Amino acid sequence: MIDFAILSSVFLTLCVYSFVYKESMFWRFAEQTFIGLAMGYTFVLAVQQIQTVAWIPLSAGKNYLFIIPLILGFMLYARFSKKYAWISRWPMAVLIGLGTGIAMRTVIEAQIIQQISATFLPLVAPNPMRTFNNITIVVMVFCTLYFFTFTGGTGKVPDAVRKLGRYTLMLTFGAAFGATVLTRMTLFIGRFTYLWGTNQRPYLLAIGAMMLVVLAVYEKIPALFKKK
Amino acid sequence: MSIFYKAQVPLYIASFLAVFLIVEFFIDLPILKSMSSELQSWGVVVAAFALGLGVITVTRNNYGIIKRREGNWPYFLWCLVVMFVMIGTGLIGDIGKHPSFLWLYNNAFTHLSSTMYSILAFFITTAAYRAFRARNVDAALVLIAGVFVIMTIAPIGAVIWLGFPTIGQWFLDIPNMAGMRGIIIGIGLGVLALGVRTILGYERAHLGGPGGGQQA
Amino acid sequence: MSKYVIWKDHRWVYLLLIVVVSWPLLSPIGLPVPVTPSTKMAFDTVEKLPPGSLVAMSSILSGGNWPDLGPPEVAFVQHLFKKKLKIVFIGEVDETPTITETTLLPRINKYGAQYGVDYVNLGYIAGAPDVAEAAFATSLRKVISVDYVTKKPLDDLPIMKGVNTLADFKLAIHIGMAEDPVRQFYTPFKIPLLVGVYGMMGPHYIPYLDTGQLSGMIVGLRGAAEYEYLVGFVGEGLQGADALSMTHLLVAVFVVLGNVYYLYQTRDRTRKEK
Repeated sequence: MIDFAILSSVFLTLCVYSFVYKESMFWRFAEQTFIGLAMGYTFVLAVQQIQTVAWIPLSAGKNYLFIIPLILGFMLYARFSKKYAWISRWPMAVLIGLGTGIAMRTVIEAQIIQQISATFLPLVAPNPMRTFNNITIVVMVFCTLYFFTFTGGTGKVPDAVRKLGRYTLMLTFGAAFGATVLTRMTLFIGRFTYLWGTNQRPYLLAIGAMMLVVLAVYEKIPALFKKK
Repeated sequence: MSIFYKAQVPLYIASFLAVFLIVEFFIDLPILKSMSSELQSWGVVVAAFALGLGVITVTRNNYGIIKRREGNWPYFLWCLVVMFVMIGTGLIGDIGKHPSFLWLYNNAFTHLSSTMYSILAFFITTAAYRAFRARNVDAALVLIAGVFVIMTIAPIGAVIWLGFPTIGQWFLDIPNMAGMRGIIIGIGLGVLALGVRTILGYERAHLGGPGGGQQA
Repeated sequence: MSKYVIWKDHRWVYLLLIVVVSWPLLSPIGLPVPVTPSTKMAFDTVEKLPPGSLVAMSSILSGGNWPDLGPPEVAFVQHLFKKKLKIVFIGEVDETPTITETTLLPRINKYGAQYGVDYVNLGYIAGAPDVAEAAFATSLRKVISVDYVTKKPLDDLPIMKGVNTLADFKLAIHIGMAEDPVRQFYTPFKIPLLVGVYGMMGPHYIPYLDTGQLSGMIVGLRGAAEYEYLVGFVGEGLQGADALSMTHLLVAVFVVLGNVYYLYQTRDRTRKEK
């Protein structure tokens, strides 16, 4: 008895992975299926959100003010008209204004004050390793910030400070690369954990073999019909 | 007058809302808090409408390709079919709860979604031996920090040599932390600068349209 | 070196990667998983909470990021249920409420917890993460009127009685990016904040751990494995730890081999020029 749920999931997964063998009809099929499903899903959830947040309170008479965001929301769709595209700027301005205000009001404390105050570390600590670490942190934070200032002149000392800032950033990017490998491999391991599951394994082997055969002969078929 | 409504009013709206939300945060008045929470809920509704724009854009683009019978047009037709089936099944009855909609979500969409992201693992493996070369001091620093952090994250690193997690954790806690702190402070200053530009009306990219919002 | 086929056709490397991933999944090795300080801090923060405390669990979980963010959230949620804490789930991405019901909660031992009394799924809030989190934190009843599963008004749910803002919660946990909850949850309300982040974002958020803005952090699958070990259950984290080791070792070996090859090429070129 074929389980169409497993068949669908394994087939679509292998269609995407066929891209590493070669770009093929399987990959193109999976790509367009993904786009269609993603767009459809996003639309349905957006309708659900509008219904829950605005329509239900509005139609129940609890908050008539929600008519304003509903009108603003519909105004967004004016962007598809060349003549009336300017109407969509009003709701966009609402989104930009709200986003700007919400981001700005907490960024000063969260990202500037707290981070700067945490950099004020004792340069002489009881532990020699701690002393070394504290000095390293203070010097490296200062040098990194100085690296981003494009004014301040040139000379042996400013250039040396900027160079140390650049080296600090290189170490940061190296650590980021190491962590990026974790994310990519995690996603990959997650898929293979699913594919090698007991229920999925027969489908994996059967569909995998069929796709490999099709891909291997795919470009050979037109060659057979080519006139010599 | 027309320029006023088309270009000036949106700038005033954005500025007013930004300033209002900032002022409300620092002044403890119930009326201001109430108005602020109302405005934020409006933002949520308008943002939900914005999600529908993608459907119209994809439909218009794909319809054009299908009509002109451009290369691979059957795939674009399939994309539209799948999209409208998903929308149709999602809007039947209780929104987003129909069994067909959930079947498509659980057995097609989630698997496609995870697999699309996971394919990068192949390319990062080939990039490791093709691109990650110690050509100069900067590249060598990236490489050394990268290898130590990779061997710190992998549990096998501690088994091979205890120095890997010790040195790797030091790289994460000291130089990486210092560099990231500098970046975070820089980003914070950038957010402030962009916010001030938006409030003062210098930032017009969000107005869009021909000329990037420069014309009314 | 140029005569080695493996360097010419990358598909052999892809096949090697598939073998290296599949082998530990089919035949586990059982390597130990040392616990990092950030994970231990997160575990201790939850351990300190008395039973019945209200926890906000916000997340950007989706099908695409499940392998990276799913295990950390499973680990957190399992610990919260084990400690008999009350959980309010909130999504910041459209898929989150569905995936919470269909994939997350079925994997959890709820220890007899009841929906509506001990935990609730409030659905998803549209908008940029900053806006959605600010809206939830300052006035959640304005953006959420009913729960996602039963569609009951919030006042009809025992768990939501008297809950209006984030100040009514004892702990906030966010699965996803950490900057926004630091700004919208921790900065205004100063309640303890834990995060489960993508593996690649771990190093980015260490400064927030250092300042105390984050009380703990689980980093990707490796962090999930450590947390599962501390809580005492085997989930996707521990199951995937061996595969994680082998793939990372493969990448590290390729980096070293690539540089050995590069040094050989440079020396060869220099010799030929002389």
